[in-house]
Amino acid sequence: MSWLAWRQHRGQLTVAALALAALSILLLVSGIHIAAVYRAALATCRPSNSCDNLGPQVFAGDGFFFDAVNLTLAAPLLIGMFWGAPLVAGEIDQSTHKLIWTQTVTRRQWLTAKVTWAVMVAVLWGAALAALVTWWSGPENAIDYTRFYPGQFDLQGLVPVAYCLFAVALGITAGTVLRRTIPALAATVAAFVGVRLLLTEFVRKHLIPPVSEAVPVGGHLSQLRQNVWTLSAHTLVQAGHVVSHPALPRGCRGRAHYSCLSSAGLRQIITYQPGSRYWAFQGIESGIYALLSIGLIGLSFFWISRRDA
Amino acid sequence: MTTTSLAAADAVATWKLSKRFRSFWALRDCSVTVPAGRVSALVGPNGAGKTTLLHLLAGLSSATSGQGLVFGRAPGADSGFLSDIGFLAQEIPLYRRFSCADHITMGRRLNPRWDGDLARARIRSLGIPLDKQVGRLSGGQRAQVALALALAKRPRLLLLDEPVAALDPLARRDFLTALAEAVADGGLTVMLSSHLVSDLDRVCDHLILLAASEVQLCGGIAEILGSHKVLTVPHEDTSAVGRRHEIIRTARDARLATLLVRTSGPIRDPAWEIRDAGLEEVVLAYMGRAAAPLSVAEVAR
Repeated sequence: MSWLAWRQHRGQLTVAALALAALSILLLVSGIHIAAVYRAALATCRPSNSCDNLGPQVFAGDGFFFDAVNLTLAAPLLIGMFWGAPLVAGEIDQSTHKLIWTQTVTRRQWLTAKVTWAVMVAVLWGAALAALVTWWSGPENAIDYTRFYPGQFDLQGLVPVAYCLFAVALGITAGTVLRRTIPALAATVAAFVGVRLLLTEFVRKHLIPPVSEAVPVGGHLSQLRQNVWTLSAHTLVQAGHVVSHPALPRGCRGRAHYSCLSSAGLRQIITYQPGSRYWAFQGIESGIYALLSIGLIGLSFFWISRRDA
Repeated sequence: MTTTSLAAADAVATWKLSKRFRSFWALRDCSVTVPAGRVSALVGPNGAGKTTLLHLLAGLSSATSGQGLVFGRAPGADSGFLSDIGFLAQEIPLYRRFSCADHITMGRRLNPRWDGDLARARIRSLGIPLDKQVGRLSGGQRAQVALALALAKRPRLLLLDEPVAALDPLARRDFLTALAEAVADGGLTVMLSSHLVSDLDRVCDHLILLAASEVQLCGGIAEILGSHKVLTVPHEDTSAVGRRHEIIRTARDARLATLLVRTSGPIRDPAWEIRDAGLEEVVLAYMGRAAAPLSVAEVAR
């Protein structure tokens, strides 16, 4: 069976390998360049202790590479569409499932081989890309402390691999249930984008209850520069009560606003996820996607043995 | 009542096998037997349930009710059953980007009794290059390759779903010749479907006639021909014939009625003109009989 899977998908595999190779060259070349610039900048600023805000200096002219890296956000979806969805639906489109299912191999064995193959490639491909992007983002993480923020979080570490796994599982299942490649493609896109948005926008911030800290208005968190993910920084508190129109001391209008508000006893409540939770969040979110993927693959197996050809 | 009444010696035995798709019965109460070693023509108009029956026997779909056995075994996901059958679907599915050689390798890896030399010899003898992509072959060549692959699996029962429907007359003849040769090698039972009986009587010795999702006829072709006669009688004798024999089809002109009958015993009246029926004539008569009440019912609905 694995020979068949290889023979059937070697074309796709070549395309995927070439795409990964092209991306690798792009990221390696630009990443080495950015790292060198960053090291040089550090060497210059350290003696004078002026290493704040190195971003504009280090990343000048790198907009194209940042765009390219941000576009890898779509890579799992492409894997779901072009690896996952046609895996079973493509066979049914061509009726070749009737050829294979009447060889001396059960549907279950057939699907096991195909799924193993597709999932393995998707995960390895995703892991290679995630490792590259994580390495590439090193200087950016060190300068901007943004790796916990949505957008950055989704590109680095463990979660991109989990997204790839989920996308391919979603594609396989959509193809098995819908039995046609094009509807399966559409369903994969809709479901993947839907689930990703839902989890990123509404679920992720609650995975572990956030921490709140009262700081002077315009002030900073005590954990500043530790990759915190700030969720909100809007609530004003005066004398222990939330206020929307604080009573301001006379003569405050139009002057140095922040210090004025602070002297009135106003505090800002900042709600955030501490940077120390970064890997916990990566792990939990990856786990959620892994469980969803297992459920989807299970559904495929259930469906394929139940349905008529 | 089910398993025991179906003889395991038969290559195919079904008992009240039925398949329903939502509210539509694709096959209803189909009880047929095909003895081992026969080449059975599964004949019927489009939509009669031929593909449904073949899919059920190949284990590609599961029955709504009733039972079907292939060499005493229910079609399903076990390798014993799967290695016994060869199936060629109507679409003649092959991997278009694979060469014939790739398909032969695939067969070797998926089947325990694979005879790759046989497939190679067959395909070469047809002048088809082994390394050519299957997608670039003609329809007739693809059908021949698919047949060679199905035979190389060394099945005991070969199920062919309208294998010649899409072929031109020459390719059709070549395909049936190849099939006849394979059958002559022995050890093979074949069921092949078609909506045209004229294609099949050269290679088949058994007939199953499906029409309107039900079995109209099932048996050896020689027996079927032996028990059907065409009588030409005066109009007033029609009912006399009908009392002794089953009238399948009646055609009338001004003076005489031409009856195709299924005989039960000898035909008495020397005044009646009797002749043997042709297979196509018998098949068309049964198809016409099955279609007529249905179309009336459809109109009434």
